[in-house]
This record gives sequence, structure tokens and C-alpha cells, in this order.
Amino acid sequence: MKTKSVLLAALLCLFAGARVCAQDTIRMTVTPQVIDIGAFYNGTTITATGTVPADSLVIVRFLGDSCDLHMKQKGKLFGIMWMNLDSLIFKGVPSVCIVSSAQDFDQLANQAGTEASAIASLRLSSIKQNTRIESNGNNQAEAFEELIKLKSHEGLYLETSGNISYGEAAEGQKSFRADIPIPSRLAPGSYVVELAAVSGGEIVVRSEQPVTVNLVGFPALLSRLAFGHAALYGILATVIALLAGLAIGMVFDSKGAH
Amino acid sequence: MSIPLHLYLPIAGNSVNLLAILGLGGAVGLLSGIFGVGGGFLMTPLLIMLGIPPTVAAASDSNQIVGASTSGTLAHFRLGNVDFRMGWLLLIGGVIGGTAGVQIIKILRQLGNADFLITVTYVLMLGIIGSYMFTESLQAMRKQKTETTAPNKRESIYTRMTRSLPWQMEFKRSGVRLSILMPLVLGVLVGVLAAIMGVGGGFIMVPVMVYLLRMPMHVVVGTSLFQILFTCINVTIMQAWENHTVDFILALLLLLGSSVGAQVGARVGRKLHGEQLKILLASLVLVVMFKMLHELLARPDVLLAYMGGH
Repeated sequence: MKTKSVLLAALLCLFAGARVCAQDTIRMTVTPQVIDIGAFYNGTTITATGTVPADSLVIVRFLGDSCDLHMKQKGKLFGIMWMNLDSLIFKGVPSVCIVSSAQDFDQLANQAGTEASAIASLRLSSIKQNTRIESNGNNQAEAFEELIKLKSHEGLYLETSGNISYGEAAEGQKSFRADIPIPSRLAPGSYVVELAAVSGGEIVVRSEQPVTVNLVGFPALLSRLAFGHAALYGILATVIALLAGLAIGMVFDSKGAH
Repeated sequence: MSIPLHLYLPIAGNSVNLLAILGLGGAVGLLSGIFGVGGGFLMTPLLIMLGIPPTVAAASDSNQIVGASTSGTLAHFRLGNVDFRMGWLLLIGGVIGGTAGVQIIKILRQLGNADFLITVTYVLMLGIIGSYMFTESLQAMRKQKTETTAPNKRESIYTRMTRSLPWQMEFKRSGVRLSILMPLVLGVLVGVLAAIMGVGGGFIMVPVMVYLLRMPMHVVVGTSLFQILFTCINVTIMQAWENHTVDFILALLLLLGSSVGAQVGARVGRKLHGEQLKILLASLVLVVMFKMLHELLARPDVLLAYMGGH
């Protein structure tokens, strides 16, 4: 009995050691780790570099915090007119999800064989697994498809390929570089860059790096005023609009453009 | 050194192309200056197409209309086209009607299918107003060409009824004599409809002034802009205070374009005859009506919409 226990403990140690080795085989650096949104921000690119096991495929995701979305689903009223009918709440939806791969996702799904299910678990469609839909209608499956469509239309959900490149393999490792496109429609907050290495039909290692998005300069000042001193902001916006309208009116008058 | 063409809007949470926003403001301001309408019916959907969230698009549009209608009112005031007395009465009625309308819409939403009711009412009203204005202006233009018969001296029932109302007042700028009850009550009705439909009310107010208050078209445009100015001041402050949806940078960019557009529009409008203005506005109303009808009947690209949007 004692021998069995020692053997089991040794096996557990071996298994844990193997996991540590696997964790050690992945390395990722993200630059920049802070995105400053100034007055002229129009989207940017984040670069993730590092090494992964030589026989693995790399999928990189840029993810926003999970949130709840209150929405209306359109349907046909009296079989003729499209109207907002059912109310829906999507719970636990990432605000942003950019999935990157070296190869086209559909090609990967066809070629990868055993990898297909692991890759599928990282694609946009996999968000459904962590999303709960509260609805007074019945079309929940269709609603999720429409959510992906809407978010993709806004540029916040994206599957992009060809933006990951690999270096030469050496000592069982290969380097990678992913250039992740960050949308212009970005809110300040916490985001993560998530790296998954897929091999042998499963995700062998994962790694995450946080990315912080901040408003700076004039947008930060305006945002503080709009959310912190809302009434003053409203009055200021009105007064400035009035004065601007008057000024433009006077400029036109002084030019005598009758 | 290249000039940055994009600007990040902190409240909308997106960046926009400067030239696109200035151009959009200019085009809508032109229509506003010509016809005396706020232009929200055009601006808001176009802003949504440019990636602005619907609630921010509508509120920021109200903010820019404050500037555009100030510029437009000033231009029309100099041309002698603003009837302030009529404008104030319509405005008082509009504020009362708007407040009542907000309560009515709350009740309608609780009853369910309010969106359907609103959209169908909108399409029907635009259709009726647009068709009536179009045919009436067309007939008037034809009459002007072949004017040989003596004018009909018989008064209509409507005229007799309005003459019989108490508190008659002279509106010199408009050249009409009416009971003060008329602009007040019509202002309330337009205010109720505008609040229910979620629009500024210019589209309804202009035909009301032309056909029910019998004001000349040029004075209608200036007075409508004057009234819209105050309506939008109220909306801007309320939206900024309660919903944080006014993006001032977006509004200012739109304003730069639309104020210039409104000035040009006021001068273009002056060169057109009243009937020509009416027929052009009627065409615009009908185009918007058909667009809305198409949206009702054609399958949308995406079958989801954010709560609180349009």
C-alpha cells in the first residue's frame, strides 16, 4: 500500500512537472501594453511576439471585458412589417473580440483535422458557450448569430488571418509575431491579449497579457466633464453652439453675401 | 507633415473622418436653411451609418441644430422673415405638447407595440402632408401661369371658424390676424406628435404654419428655425444631463458644416418662389416617407437593435 502511494505521488509529480514544462514552452510579449486614446486616435496595432512549441498553431485573441447587452430583436408584424418585437439580454458578452490566425480559419477547419475542434473553441462562434440569453421570444439561436453580425458590423468582432508569422523552428520551439488590428471604436478599460497554442487536437498552452486603454488629453477632459458635471457640460455645449452659430452668421453678414 | 483627417469622439467612443462630418453637416444645413427644418430626420441615420451610436447621434444632432438654427434664424431675421410673436406662441404650445407627449409615449410603451404605432403614424403623416403639399403647390404653380379668373371671394368654413375664435391678434410679419389660441393649440399638437415620434417637429410645424396659420412660406421658414432653436436647446441640456449622450466635438464639427450650409440655404431659399419651396419640401417629405416605408417592408441586414436606439 505504501509502495502504491509513493508511486502515485511520483506520477503526480511527473504530471505536474510536464505541465510546468508546457507552461515554460510559451513566452509572449505584448507592445504596447497601454493604448492612449488622444484626439487623433483612429485605431492602432498591437504586436504580440514570443515562442511556442514548434509543432503548434498559434491563435491570438484581443478580448474586452464581459458585459450585458440589452437589445431588441426584429421580427415581422402581421407578416408584413419589420419591427422591434422581442426584448433580449445577452449576459457575459465580450465587448471586443479580435481573433487572429496565420491561416484562413475556414481553411484551417478543413485541413487541421483533429485541431478543428480546438480551433473552433477559439473562434467568434465559441462566445456562445459563455453567453447567456434572457429573452421573451423563442429565436435564441438566431439571436446569437445576429449579435455576431451586429458586432462584426461595428468592427468590434473580427476573425482575421495572415497577420501572424512564424520564425524558424529550433530546439522544439518556434518564434511568432502577431500584429493585431485594434478598432477605432474602442472604449477605455481593461483588455487582454490571449495566446493559445493548438497541437494534437487540443489547446496545449495558453498565455494572457493585460492591455489598458486610457483616454488622454482633450478626449479625457471632455469625458470627465460630460460624465462628472453633466448639467454644466450640457449648458456649455448649448452656449458654445449658440455663439458659434451667431459668429458664423455675423461672418456671412459682414461679407455682405446677399 | 500630414494633416490628421480623423478625430476621436470620446462620448461616441469612435473616431470619425473630419471631411465626412463637415460635408454631412454642410449638406443637411443647406436643407435646413432652405426649408426651415432641423434636418434630424436625415442627419441621425447618416451619423449611425458612419459608426456613431444611435442615442449619441440623435442627441449630438440636437446640439448642432442649436448652432445651425441660430445661424439660420439670424440670416432669416435680417431678411425680415422671422415672426417672433407667432414663434413664441408656437414654442409655448410646443413645450406643453412635448411634455405631454413624453408621458403619452410612456403609456404607449407600457401598452406594447408602441414602436409599430409610432412608425405607422409617422409614415402616414409624412405621406398625407407630402402628397397634399405637392399637389397643392403644383396646382398653385399652374394657376399662376394661367391666371385669368377672378379670385373666389367666398370664405371657407375653416376661415369663418378661425375668425370666430376669441383673443384675435395681429401678426404683422406674417400678415395674418388670428386668435392666439390657434398657434398655442397647434403648437401643443405638434409638440405631442414630435415627442411621440422622437423628432424636432419641423416637418410637421412647417405645413401647419403654411396651411392652418396661413403664413407666407418665407416667414414660415424663419419662424420655424426660431422655434426649433429653443426646442433643441431644451433637448441638448436634458440629454447631456440625464443620458450623457451629447458628443460636443461631433456637434461642433457638424455645426461648422451646417451653419455655413444654413446661410447658403437661406439665400438659395430667397431666390425660390414660395410654391417652388413648398414643392421641393413636399418632395423631400415624400422621399423620407418612402425610405421609412422601405425600412418597414424590407428585411433588415441585422435583426438586432440596441435598446434606446432608433
